[in-house]
Amino acid sequence: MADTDASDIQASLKGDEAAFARLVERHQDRIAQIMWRFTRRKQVLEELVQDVFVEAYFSLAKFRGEAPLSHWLARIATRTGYRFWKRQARKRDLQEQRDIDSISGPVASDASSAAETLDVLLGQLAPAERLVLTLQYLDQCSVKDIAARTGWTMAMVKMRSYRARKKLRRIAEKQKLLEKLEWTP
Amino acid sequence: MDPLDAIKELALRARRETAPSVHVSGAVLARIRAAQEPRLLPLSIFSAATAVAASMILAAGIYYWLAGGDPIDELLPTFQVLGL
Repeated sequence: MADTDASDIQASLKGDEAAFARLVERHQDRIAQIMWRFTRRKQVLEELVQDVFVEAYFSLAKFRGEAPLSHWLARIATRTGYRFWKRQARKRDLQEQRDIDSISGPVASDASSAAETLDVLLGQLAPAERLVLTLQYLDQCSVKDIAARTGWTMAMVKMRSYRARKKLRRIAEKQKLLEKLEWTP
Repeated sequence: MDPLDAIKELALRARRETAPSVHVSGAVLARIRAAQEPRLLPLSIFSAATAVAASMILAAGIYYWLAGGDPIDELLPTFQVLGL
């Protein structure tokens, strides 16, 4: 796949649109999976995935090819998602952000309900804190991976993760989350 | 139980969720083409009009500068009248 990516990147840089379309088609599912952590709305998801590839196209000349293209795209996707959250936080987008009172139990075993609940919970945090825990919990990223994806230093990632977990624990305790979810370990 | 452990458990379940499938290549290419088209923005129009006006003023300035006489020569008769 890496060789195919390399030849399509070279062709895209020469203006071959079909080559770039092939790159998009090859990576769109993975990028959609990343962006689905940033929104639960299908229409917004499509726009965010488009944003990632448009930015990738105009930055393609900067891609050095030292790491696989998927890693480079994941970094662009993370930054795009983070910018989206910051915009939402500024606008206080109520459509995107749901109240913690909407959580009710028992906690569903299906992945979608669990993701919904987690989205509401993490949505109570500031964008930077939310991002660090999303990458840590949902994408299973290490501190080093998060630093690479976000462009933050490792010390900054550790500090933000510590603060975010502390804040999340406080919110969960205050809202009696375990009781709401009817959690039985 | 620590609420954070419950949240981690929740994340473990959430991780299995697959995102809706998207097909964006057409829309991406359309947006790239639109971004590459030269656009006549109001700022570009204003810049062009300013450049034209500045050129006209400069040309008029040079013309009148060349057409006018030497200001020292024009001062001398005044001094002569005054008897200086």
